Amino acid sequence: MGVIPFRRTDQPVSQPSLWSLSKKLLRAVYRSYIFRVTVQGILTLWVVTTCTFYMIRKMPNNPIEVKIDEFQTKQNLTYEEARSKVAGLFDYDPDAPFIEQYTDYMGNLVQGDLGRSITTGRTPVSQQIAKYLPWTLFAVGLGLLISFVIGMIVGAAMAYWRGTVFDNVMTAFASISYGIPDFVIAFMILLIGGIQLELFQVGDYIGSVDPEIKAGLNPEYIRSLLQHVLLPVTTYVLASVGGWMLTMKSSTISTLGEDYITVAHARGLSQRRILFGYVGRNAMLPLMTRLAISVGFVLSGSIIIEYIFIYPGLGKYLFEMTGKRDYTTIQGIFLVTSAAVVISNILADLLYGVLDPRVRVGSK
Amino acid sequence: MKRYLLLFVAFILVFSVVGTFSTAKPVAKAQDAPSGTFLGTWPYTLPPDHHLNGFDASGLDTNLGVVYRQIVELTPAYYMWATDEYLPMLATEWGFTEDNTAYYIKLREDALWSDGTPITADDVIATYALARITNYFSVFSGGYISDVVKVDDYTVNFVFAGEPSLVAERGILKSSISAAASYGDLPQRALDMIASGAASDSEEWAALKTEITEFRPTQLLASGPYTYTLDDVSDSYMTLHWQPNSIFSSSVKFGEIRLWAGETEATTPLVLSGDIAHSTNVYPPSTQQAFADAGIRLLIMPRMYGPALLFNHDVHPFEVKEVRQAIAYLIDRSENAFLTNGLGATATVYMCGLLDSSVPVLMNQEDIDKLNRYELNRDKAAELLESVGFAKNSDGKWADADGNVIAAEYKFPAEFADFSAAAQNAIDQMNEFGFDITPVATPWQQTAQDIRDGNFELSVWSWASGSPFSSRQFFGPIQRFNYVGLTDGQKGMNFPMEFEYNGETINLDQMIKDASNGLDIAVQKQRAGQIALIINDLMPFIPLNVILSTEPWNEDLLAGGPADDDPILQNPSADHFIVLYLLNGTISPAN
Amino acid sequence: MAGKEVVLSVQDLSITYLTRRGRLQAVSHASFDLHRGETLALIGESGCGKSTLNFGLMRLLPKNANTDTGKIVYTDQAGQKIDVLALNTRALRKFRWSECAMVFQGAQNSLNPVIHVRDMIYDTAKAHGLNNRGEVRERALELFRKVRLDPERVFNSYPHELSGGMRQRVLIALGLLLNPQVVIFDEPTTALDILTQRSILNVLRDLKEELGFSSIFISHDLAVAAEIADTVATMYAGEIVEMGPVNDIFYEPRHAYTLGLMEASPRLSVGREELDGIPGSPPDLVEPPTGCKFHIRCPFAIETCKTTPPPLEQASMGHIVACYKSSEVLEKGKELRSISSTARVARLS
Repeated sequence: MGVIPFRRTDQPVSQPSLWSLSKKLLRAVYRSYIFRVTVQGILTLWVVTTCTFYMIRKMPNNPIEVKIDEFQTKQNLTYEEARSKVAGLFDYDPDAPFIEQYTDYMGNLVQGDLGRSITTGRTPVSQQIAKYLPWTLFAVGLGLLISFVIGMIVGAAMAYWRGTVFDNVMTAFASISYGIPDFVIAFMILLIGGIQLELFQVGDYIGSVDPEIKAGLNPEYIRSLLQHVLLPVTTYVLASVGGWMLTMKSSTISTLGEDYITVAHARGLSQRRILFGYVGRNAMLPLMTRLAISVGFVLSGSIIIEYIFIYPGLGKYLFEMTGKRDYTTIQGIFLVTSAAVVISNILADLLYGVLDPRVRVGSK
Repeated sequence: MKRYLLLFVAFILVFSVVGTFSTAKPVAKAQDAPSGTFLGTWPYTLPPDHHLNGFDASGLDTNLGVVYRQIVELTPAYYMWATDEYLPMLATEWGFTEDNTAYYIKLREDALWSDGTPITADDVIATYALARITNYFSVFSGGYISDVVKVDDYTVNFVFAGEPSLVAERGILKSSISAAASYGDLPQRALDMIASGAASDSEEWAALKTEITEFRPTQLLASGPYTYTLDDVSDSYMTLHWQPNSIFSSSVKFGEIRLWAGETEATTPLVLSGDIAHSTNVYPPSTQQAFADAGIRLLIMPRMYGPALLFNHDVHPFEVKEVRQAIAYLIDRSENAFLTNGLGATATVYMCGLLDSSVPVLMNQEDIDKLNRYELNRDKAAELLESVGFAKNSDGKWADADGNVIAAEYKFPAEFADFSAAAQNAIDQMNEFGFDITPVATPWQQTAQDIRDGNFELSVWSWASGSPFSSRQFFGPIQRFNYVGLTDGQKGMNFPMEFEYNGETINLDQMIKDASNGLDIAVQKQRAGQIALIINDLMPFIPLNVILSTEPWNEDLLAGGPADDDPILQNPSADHFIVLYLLNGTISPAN
Repeated sequence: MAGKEVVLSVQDLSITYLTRRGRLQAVSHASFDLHRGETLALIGESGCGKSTLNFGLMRLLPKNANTDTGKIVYTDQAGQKIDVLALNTRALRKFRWSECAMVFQGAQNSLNPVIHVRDMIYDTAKAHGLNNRGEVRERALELFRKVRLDPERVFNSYPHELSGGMRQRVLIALGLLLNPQVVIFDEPTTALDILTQRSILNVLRDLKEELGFSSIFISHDLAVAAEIADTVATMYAGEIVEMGPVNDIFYEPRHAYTLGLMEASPRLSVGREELDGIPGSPPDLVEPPTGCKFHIRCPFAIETCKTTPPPLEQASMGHIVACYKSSEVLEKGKELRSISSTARVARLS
C-alpha cells in the first residue's frame, strides 16, 4: 500500500481518514467470505496449473514421436513417410527452455487465452473444450443426479427397513455395484444386453445423438439425445449408486439411533415429517461433501465409460489427447476440471452451511 | 418433488428403449447412387479438430487415413505386392523417361472432380507445389525430386535430384492428388515461391508453409466416387457419400461408406453386433476368437512389422557378438510368435532384417543360402557362450570368469499386448536357459523414450516396415533407435554402424540408405544381400516374429471379399485390398 | 395421594427385548398408579429397566422389544380411559405428547440440530392439529418465560447456540407445550453442573405447582428425587422392589437395595469420602438369578433369598417392599443415619 501518498500536504486533514477508510474497506473485503475463497481458489488453480504444466511436459515421449508411431502402426507407413508428414505438423518446439514455455503460457492464460492445440492443426483449446464440455455435463451430470437421488431414497429405505429381505437384497446389489469397475459394467451391458440377448442394436446407442436427425428442439432430436445417453448414464448409475446407497444407509442408521428421532416420535410427529425433516436432513449431511467432490469431478467425466460408448465428452477427449501428448489441450482440460472442483467445493461449503447451521460459513 | 423425478427418470428409460425400434432411415442423396452402406471404422477426429486439408497430418491423413483417403482422392496407381506391379487408377501411363532423369505420369483424360471439372496436370503440379512448401511428401523430404514439370495438360514429369529411384516411383504413384481449386490461391503462391528460388529455410517460405497447413478447405473435391463435408462427421460415425462424377462412380456398389469412430475397445461390440462389417483395427487374440465364434470371418494380412529384441550395446555382455548369436539360438521363435499374437504372428525365418516374405524378392538365392537361420539349438547357444568365457555356475546361471552372471532388465510397453507378450516369453526362455533377466513393464511412451535415451538394457520394439524396398525394411531398430537416426546426443541401442568387417571398413548406415537407389534391380539385390548377411551375422537386434493383421469381415453384410488365397491379401494396409475392391465393385452389400 | 384421581395406572407390565443371546427381561411385572398432581420418582442404577418402563408407557420401544403382559391405562382430561397398548398408530400419535409428554436426558441430542427451536415447536403443534402459529408462538414464549429463558432469543435459535441447561429448559417447555396430564422426566438433571441442576429442579417444582401435571421422574440419584417426588419407587433388575411416600423411603428404607442406593448417593450434607457404592454389578437379565435378584449383592441375604423371590408386601401405609429382611434393613438404616450425622458433627467441630 506504499502507493498511497502520505506526504502530500495539500489536504492534510482528509488523508488519515481516507487511509483508515481504505484500511477498513480492505479489512472488510479480506474478511468477506467471497473474497477469501476467490483468492484461495485462484491460488489453488495457479498451483495446479503450474504443477500440471511441469508434469505434462515431463511425460515420456513427445507429440511428434507419438504421431509418427500412430502413422507407422495404423497406416503401415514407413518411418520416413510418417516423419515427413508429421514434421511440419507441430507448432511446438521441444527444445524451448521450460521456463520460457511456462511464462508464455501463463501470460496468455492471464488474458483468458488457453492457447492452441499442438496436435490437431492448431485448434483453439477453448473451442475444443466448448465442444466436449456440454456432453459430459449432460451425461455425467444426469448420471450423478439419478444416482444420487436413487442412492438417497433406497439407502434411507434400507436403513429404515434394515434386516428385511429388501435390505439384504439391496445391500448385496450395492456391494456388487460398488465393487465392479464401470468399464466392466459397460462391457456387460453391451456384450450381454446388446449382443447375446439382442435387446438393442448397439450402434443405435453409441455416440451422442443420431447423426441423421437435425439438431433442434424437436421431440425426435430430444428422444435421440436421451436414447444415446441411456447407456452411459445407466453404466454410471449402476457403478456409482451402490456407493451412495451404502453411505446413505449407514448415515441413516446412525441418525435413526439419535435421541432427537426418538423425541420426535414421542412428540407424535408424522412419519413423513420425521423422515424428511429429521432423519433425511441429518443423514444427508455427511453425503454433501461426497456429492461436492463428485460434482467437481463431473467434468473430467467417466473417461472409460465415454471411451467405450464413443460419447463425445471431455473425459474421452482428455484420454485421447493424453495419448497424443497434446500438451496445451491436456493443460486446458485440467484447468477447467480443476476450476470445477474448486468451485463446487466452494458451493458445497455454502450449501453445507445452509443445511447444517452448526457449520455456518464465514462465522469465526 | 422426488416422486416426479423418479417418474421422469422412468419415462426417459422407457422412452429411449421404445425409441430404438423407430429410428428414422436415412434418405438417399442422389437418385442413381447405388444402395447399401459399407460399414467400416476409422479413428477420425471430431470438428473443430477435424479438417479437410490434405497437407497437414491432422487433416485427411488422420481423418481418412491412408486406406479411405484413396477412395476419396485417388492415387495415380495401385500397387500389388504379390506381382510387384502397379494397376492404373488416376493415371493411364507412368514410368521413367527415356534418359532416366525424370519420372512421368499421364492422367486419364476423362477423369473429373466431384464438381464436374476435369482433373488435369495442373492439379498434380498444385499438389506437389503445396507438398514441397510443406515438405509433406517423402519424395521431397527424402530429397529424391527436385522439380515437377507440366508436359501437357495430362502429363507431368518429376525430375530427379540425383539418380533415378524406385523408392521415388512408389512415392509418386501412391500419393493422392488433390484438387487445386480447393486451396484457393495457395498453389499459385507456392509455385511463385518455388520459382523465385527462395530458400526452404527462409522466412517467406516458413510463413507460406504455416499458411498452407492452417488453411481449411471448405469442401473436399473428390476424384474418387465418395466425398464428405464436415456435416457428415458425427461423434459416432462419419459418412462418405457417393458422388456421380468419378471414373469409378459407376462401378462402386455402395451408396455410402459409414466409418464408425473408436479404437479397438470401442469397436469390439460394434463388430459383434453387426454395426461394423469390416474393421482395420488390431484386436487381441481373445477378441479374434470371439469374432470367429460369432461367425465373423477373419482376413489375415501382413502388417510388415513385428517385435524385435533390442540390445543396448553399451551394456555388457550384449556388445559381444557371440552372446547375441547365442540368444538368437536359444529363443524358440515359434513359441514366441504364438504367444505374441496367436495365429496372427509367424516366427522369423531368415533373421536378416528383411521380412521373410520379401527375402526371395529382394535378395539373390546364393545370398539367401548363406543366411544363418538360427534354428532353435540350445547346445549351440551354450557352445557360443563358452567360446567367449562364460560357464554355468553352481546355480545353473551363465557367468563369466569373475562370476558375473548375465543379468539385465528387459523393458517392454505394458499396453501393447503383443509386444509385451513377446518380451515376457523371451525373458522366460532366457531365464530358463540360465540368464537372470528382470521384466520391467512401462507405459509405451516411456519405453520408446527410454530406448531412444539409451536408458535400457534389453527392450522390445518393431522391426521392418510396410515398404517393398530393402532400405526401408532394414531401417528398423539399427537406424531408428540407434545414434545414427537420433538427435540431441541420444544414443539408443548404440550399435556402431562404421566398423571393420571381413577386412574392409564399412558404413552400414550409408549402405542401408543407398540399398534401394537406382533402377537396377540386380544391383539392389546384391546390396541387400550384403547388408542382410552382415545383420544376420552380427545380430544387432533379434527379429522375433512378424505380426499379421486379422481383420474382421462380416459376410452377412458384405459380399465379394477376397478368398483366403487371393494374392491381394499379401498387401499390407498401406495398399489395402478394400481400396481396389471397393472402387472396382468387387465388394458389394450382401443380400 | 391415595385420595386423588388416578391418571395413569400400570398393572403387571412386563417388557422383554429379543437379543442375540436370548430374551432379556427388562421389566417384570411392574405395577403402580400415578395420581393427579403426583410426582413419582423411579430410582435405580443404569440398566435397571426404568427407562424401558417409561418408553413402554409411551410405546416408544425399539422394534426388538415386546410388551409381554400388563396393561397401561390413562385417564384423559375428559375422564375417558385410554388403553395405551390397544391404540392404533394414528391414535397413538395423537396420544403422545398431548396426553403424555417426555422430557429426555442429555439435552445435547434430544433436539434436531439442523432446524430452529421454533420449528420444533411448530412441528409438535402441527402434528396435533394446532395450525395457528401465532397462538403456538405465544404459548411457547410463555413457557420459555416460565422456565426462565429469554423467550425471543431462544425461540429463534438453533440448538447448538444454547447451553446445556438452556437446552434442558427448552425440552421442558417443549414437553409442556400441549399441556399434557403426565410428563415423564428422564434424568433431566444428569450431565448438568450442580448449580444448573439446582435451578432446573426449582423450575420443575414451580411448574408443577402452577400447572398441576402429574409426573414420573426418573433418576439414579435418590437425593435429587427426594427434592421433587411425592412417591418414590426403587427398581432393581426390572422389578419395582420398594415403593412408598418419599419420606418413608428416604428415612425408613426397608429394602437392602434402596438402602444401598442411599449410601451411594452424594449429598451436599455428606463428605464424598463417605460414599459407599453397592458392591458387585447388576445381574444379567437374560439369565437372571433365582430367588431375590439382589441376593448376590445383598449383605442381608439368607438361604430363602436364593431360592424364592420375596413377594411385594405392605410394610406401612402406602409403603410396599419385596424383602424378607425388611426389618433388619430398617434397623441398619437408622444406625447408619446416626453415624453419618455424628460424622458430620465431628467434621464441623
